[in-house]
Amino acid sequence: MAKFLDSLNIVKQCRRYGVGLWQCPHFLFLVMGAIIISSIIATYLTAQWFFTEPQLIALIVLVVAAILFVIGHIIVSSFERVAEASLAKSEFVAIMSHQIKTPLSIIKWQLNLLKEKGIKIEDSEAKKFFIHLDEENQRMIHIVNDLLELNRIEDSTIFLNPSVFSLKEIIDEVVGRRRKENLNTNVSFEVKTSENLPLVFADKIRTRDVVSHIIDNAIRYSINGGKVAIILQGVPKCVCCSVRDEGIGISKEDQKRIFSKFFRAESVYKYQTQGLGLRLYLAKAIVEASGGKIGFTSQEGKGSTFWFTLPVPKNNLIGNNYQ
Amino acid sequence: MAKKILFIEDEMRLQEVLGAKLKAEGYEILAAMDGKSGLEIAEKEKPDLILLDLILPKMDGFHVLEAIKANPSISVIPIIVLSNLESGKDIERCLSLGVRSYLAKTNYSLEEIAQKVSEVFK
Repeated sequence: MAKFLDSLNIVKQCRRYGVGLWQCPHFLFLVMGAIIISSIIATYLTAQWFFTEPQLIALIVLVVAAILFVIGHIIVSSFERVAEASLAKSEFVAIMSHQIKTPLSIIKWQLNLLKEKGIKIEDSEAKKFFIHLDEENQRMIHIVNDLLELNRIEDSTIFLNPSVFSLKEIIDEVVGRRRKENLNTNVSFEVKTSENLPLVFADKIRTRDVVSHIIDNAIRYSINGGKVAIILQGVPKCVCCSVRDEGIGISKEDQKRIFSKFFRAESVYKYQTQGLGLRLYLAKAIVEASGGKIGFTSQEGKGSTFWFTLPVPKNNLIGNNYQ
Repeated sequence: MAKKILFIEDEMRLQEVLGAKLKAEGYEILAAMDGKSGLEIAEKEKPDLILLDLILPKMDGFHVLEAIKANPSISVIPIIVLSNLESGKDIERCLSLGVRSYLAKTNYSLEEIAQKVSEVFK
């Protein structure tokens, strides 16, 4: 209700876009509506009194049409300004990300080389800081990559590179890595695969991102530990992957916005502060662009199940299409 | 004889670090800091592999690629693009010009790049 009332507050809406009242599409639409209604009434009244002078009526209609034309033009140009601002924002993100990526690559490669050369760090604290440097640099790379991916999705310039591969292999790879990283936590993993599971046709690198996002979320929400169960099964024309956790679940209120951009659930703020709130938004966009679907069920206090599907190849061109 | 790799990259520190890694792997490294001199070295030295950045002074990577492909004496040299430009348009353009692979620098470790390089010579 509050949201609906808010949408009626034209002045507030205009302020949100940072434009003046006479440049604000919301306000101009209102003015146009008022002019149309009052001109219909005025034409009707004038026509009653001056029905012997049709020229006068025609003149009034002409003047009103001219005014509406001018207002229409202002509305179109304010939309143009909004579109230009959006374009400028995309370009800004693209240029900035590229600029930031150069020093990030330098740091990454230099740390790689130092690690390979096996520099002698006797001090255990210094060693720990060295590992942290590497991890934090990697985190910055992830953030920049997420922003760039968001930019590409919003500009519809996302370039998928689909191939035929085994979703199970990707799951095993990601779970294997997470198992190692979560040795000291109470989170355990279980992977179940149905027999004769077909291969999928999608962008392999991005699918790995989606799988990582969903499994990482399951781990993150398993505050008190528990099992993260991953089930792979064939469904008509697709393979379905579901990830169930026994974590804190998502409140009814948050469930509505879970796939929104920059959305972070209340519970996330409470337990940890990392992340841009982009991961599920990106996962949804990638799965849907690949021809699959994504969804979830969740019960607060009991856990959540996130699932997604990816299409199997259309023609069984590859001899062995099963994994 | 050691395989010759030409690395065209304007960022000195990236040159140093990847150059050191590849030298340690036993390759001979030729370095160019801009597109124009990169093309000249490619024509003169005929390396076994070219690692190419895209945003370069004097002549950008796309033009270098086009010039290499247009010159029959060096057009068969395999090329790996190493760039942080990641738009679909750029990747497609490079692939259509026949590059071997397109690697985003931030997404690959030195070890993974060395791996890709050794795959070229297999």
